[in-house]
Amino acid sequence: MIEISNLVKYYGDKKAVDNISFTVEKGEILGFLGPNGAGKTTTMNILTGYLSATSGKVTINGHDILEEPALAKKSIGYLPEQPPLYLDMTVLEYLKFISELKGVPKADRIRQMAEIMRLVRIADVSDRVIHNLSKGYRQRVGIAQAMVGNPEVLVLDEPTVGLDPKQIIDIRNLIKTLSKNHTVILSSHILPEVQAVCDRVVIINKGKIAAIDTPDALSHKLAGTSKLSLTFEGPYKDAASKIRTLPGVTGVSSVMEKENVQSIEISIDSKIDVRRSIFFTMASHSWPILEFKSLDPTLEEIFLSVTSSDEKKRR
Amino acid sequence: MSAIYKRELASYFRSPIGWVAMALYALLGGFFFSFNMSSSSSVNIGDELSLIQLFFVIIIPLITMRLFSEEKKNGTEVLLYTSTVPLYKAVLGKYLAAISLLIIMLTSTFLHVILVLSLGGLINAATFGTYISFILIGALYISFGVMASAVTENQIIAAVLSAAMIIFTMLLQVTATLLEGIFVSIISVFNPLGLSSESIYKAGENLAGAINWMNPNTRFSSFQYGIVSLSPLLFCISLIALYLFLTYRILEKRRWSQG
Repeated sequence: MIEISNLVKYYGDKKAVDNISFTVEKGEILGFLGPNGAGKTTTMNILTGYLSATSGKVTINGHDILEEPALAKKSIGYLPEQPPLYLDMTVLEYLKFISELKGVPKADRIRQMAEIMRLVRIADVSDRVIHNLSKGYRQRVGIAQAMVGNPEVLVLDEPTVGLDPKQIIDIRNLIKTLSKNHTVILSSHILPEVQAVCDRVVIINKGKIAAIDTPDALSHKLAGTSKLSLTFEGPYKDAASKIRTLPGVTGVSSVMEKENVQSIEISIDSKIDVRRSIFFTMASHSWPILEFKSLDPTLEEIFLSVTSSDEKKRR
Repeated sequence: MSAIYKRELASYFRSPIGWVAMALYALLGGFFFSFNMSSSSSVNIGDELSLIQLFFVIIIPLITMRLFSEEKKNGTEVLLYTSTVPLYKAVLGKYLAAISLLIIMLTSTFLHVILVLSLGGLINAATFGTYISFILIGALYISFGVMASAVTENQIIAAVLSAAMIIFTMLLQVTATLLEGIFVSIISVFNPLGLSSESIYKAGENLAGAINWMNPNTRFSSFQYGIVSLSPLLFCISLIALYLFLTYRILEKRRWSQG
């Protein structure tokens, strides 16, 4: 479906994208994960034909984006980070313009626009000038724009950034709905978002691919560095020394101490489930547990783990 | 391309720009027309148009400054770059929209034509020639403006740049005369080759002629007498093509830019 090989893009002396290659299969939702400035947007811009790569090749459905731009671009809908909206137009006028620009046959235009507006739920604002819409609605109009012409591939650059939690859930559901008929490439710097939506994740850091895998496999890779958070009533020193002796615990550190209440972080080797033994240890000493949970790995930890394991391999 | 053309033309009238430009135009045209009517015995539409032409310096930058710079600023240029429409068609669409606005503005002077006719004035080949040269020179200046707008995302800079190009072109004739004078006086004083004064004057004239060769205004001067010839038309159209091509290359360069 989409093939990206050996993509390189320089900005001055800086290599924004450094030899990236991957493929996206039909019907897949691919997540593009990385911190700000990792090269996500640049890669997406190249992929959609907005920018040209310094070297490397992008083919979409077998059409090279530079050599057969019209054919390649026909199968891509793009929502850039900043939705490309003409603020002086109404939603309907705007979508009409996009339909004409993308060469949607006249007979299909009305039906298709109605369908899209129903899907992204903007039919109720179709007569309003885009300038007066809230950010959430603008984002949805941006997604609608990408869907016009019914392209097989949707490329969405940080589609949920700056939205409120309810809108974020809305957009995520929308993306899931869209994935039934489209291949979706989606970038984000929020890990749970990618985990919630994507079939496969590309982690990109400093312009290089750090890992490509399914979200499950990625968290599996992290297995070595899991952590638990525990809040209890009792003395820190005694509890810590008791917990340290349990099999599977690799370290204990204090996070907060308030009167007699302790918050600690326990590093564990997650091949062994230590939660039960911790519970019984605390219970036998009558140290009541107030809160006990496993800590989700943060994006930073994923990076550390992925990049450090890369370095280990090299050694 | 027609989508871009239609959107661009409509957006002139969604914002104040189209209306302001039209009002400015009608005001100036009306003022010059009535001034001509009251001050001279014969009424000539051509005089009115050539006076309005001086105000191209304001009107043309006003209608061209936002064409590409605004897209760049609002991030909507992505649509142009990623759509299946090739970039040169986007340039043409926007250019034609600006020309259309110029012609729409021109319609307010048709009223003056009707007035002249009803008062028994003269509408002849000279009038048509003037209209044609007016539109072509306007079209040329618009191509300056389109290019200026592609260079920057700041509308003010785009406007200043195109105004500067227009002023430069307008002053070509003055520049030519000035340079001719300077050339003749300097050579007359030093005269290293021992030329006769006649040939010095001749050389000065040729220098001025060379500069005026580049001047669309002098090339079109015969049109104001009703003599429509091919060479100024071709000159103007090829210059327009050159500027639009440059615009296209400037836009295309952005794609490859590594700055």
